[in-house]
Amino acid sequence: MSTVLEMLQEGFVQDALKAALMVALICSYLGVFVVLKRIVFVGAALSETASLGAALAFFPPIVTVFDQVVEAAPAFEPLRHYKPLVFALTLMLLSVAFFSQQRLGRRLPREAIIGVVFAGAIGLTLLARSQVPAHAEHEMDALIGNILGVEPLELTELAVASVVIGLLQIIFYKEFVLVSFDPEVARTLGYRAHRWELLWYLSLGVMIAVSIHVAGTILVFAYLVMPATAALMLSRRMGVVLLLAVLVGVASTLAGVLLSISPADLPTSPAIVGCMVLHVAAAWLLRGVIGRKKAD
Amino acid sequence: MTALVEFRDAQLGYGRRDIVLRDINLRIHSGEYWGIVGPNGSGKTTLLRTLLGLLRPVAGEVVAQREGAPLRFGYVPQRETVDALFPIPVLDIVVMGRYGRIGVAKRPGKRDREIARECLDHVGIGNLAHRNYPELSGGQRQRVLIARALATEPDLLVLDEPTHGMDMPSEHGLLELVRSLHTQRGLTVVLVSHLLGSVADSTDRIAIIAHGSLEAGTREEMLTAQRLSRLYDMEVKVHQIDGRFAVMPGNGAP
Repeated sequence: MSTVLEMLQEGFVQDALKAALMVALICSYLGVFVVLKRIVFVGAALSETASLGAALAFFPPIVTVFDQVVEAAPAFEPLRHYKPLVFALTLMLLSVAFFSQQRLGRRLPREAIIGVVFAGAIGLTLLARSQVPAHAEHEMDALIGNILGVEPLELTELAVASVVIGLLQIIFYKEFVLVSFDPEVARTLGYRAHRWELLWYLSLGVMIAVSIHVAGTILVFAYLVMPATAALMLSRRMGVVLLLAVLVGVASTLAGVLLSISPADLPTSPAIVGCMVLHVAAAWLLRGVIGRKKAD
Repeated sequence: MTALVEFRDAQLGYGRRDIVLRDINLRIHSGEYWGIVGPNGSGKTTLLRTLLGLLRPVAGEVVAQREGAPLRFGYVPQRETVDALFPIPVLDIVVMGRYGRIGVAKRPGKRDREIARECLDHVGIGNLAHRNYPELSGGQRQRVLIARALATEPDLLVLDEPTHGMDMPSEHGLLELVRSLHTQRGLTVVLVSHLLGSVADSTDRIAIIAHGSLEAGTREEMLTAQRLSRLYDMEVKVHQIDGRFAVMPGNGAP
């Protein structure tokens, strides 16, 4: 116990906890929409695309072009510190624009297109990483998903993104629910449904890009799917589902981080994912009990 | 008499290379009850989407306004297109009909909820206000969507295949409900269906889409054996029983 308390005093543990809680809060909330909109694998594809973006920031030909651009236009010099994030966000924005197209899926199944992006992004990420010089590999590992290695700058990026996206979700809750539930009626009511969809996808995309940076693809994807799934098993009210999803995300994060700094010494991200799995299993069992009581 | 909706020599479709309906002329006046009928794939959805302003005419003109202001539609989509996975209570779905009046980033007020409750009462499901939409039967869901359309306080109520997949009592009850909304509240109604039988007895005016074009008129003008046989490329018989129309296939060619 004393070891855990001592570890909790460590700056890097506190930063990891703050980062994970921010990712948990926003991604678990957005995850409810991801699951209800039936776009779970869009979430996965966006995660991999962001990861590809971060990897490309270290890909030698791109580094050379970037250096030349900065040399020619010194105004871009500050971007050097944010290079992985800038690349991740750029690819993310392109993917969001692509996935939010209403025409997508008219000629081919939407799942096939998502699958192409998903598999393509994983393959290209591995390809880009294989070309990264050895001296940059450690830096890249840290940038695409090591929650215990979160840097103060990344924490600031995450905090800014979380506040902005959180506020957008609160202010435009009514609009996001309407265009997700019935986009055609939204249009007849005077809403430009496509623009609202795009804004929602942008929120998701930016949050994924920033989160991947600190938490990695698997943990971010898990936050987008598991808390929402557990919550939807326990409640049939949108407000309650959103609250439960956030609670499951936050509780799993706290438990996972505590497990990772305990004598059990488990790796942090897998420990958090493991706790989320337990929550989903508990919700499933609880739903069975509630269902049986109702039947009686 | 000024029309609420007017199609003037309109070509409808998805670009000049994909015109679905040609030379459409149609005037829908306030207080009328129209049935728009056509076989599957005839272009009903294209006409409907153009009427609602979701699709621009490729050529010609479509005007939908009341006293110079854009028309307010109460749109009832096919219930299969509404995602029943969302855990939203019935009352909240009906309140969505108010969103166009509430404005962006504002929350529905007490008055909006009152209007939504009144609309639920009008369609006979006031007792379901707090039930979840996914828990309801097909007929009940359809009434929720009609209540939501009424909550917009529409100039024109538009229903897309409202009786699709319903059993006979549910279909009859729903058509009676729409008829009573038209007669008691004076609502202008457009009901789209692929079944002529669904509109033959409930509407006053009928538009039939066939062969890439549209013919429209009063029920008596449209429901003749000769016209229907020509439009449907088959022999059709029309009988009047106790003042009601019965349309049925004949045995031979037109």
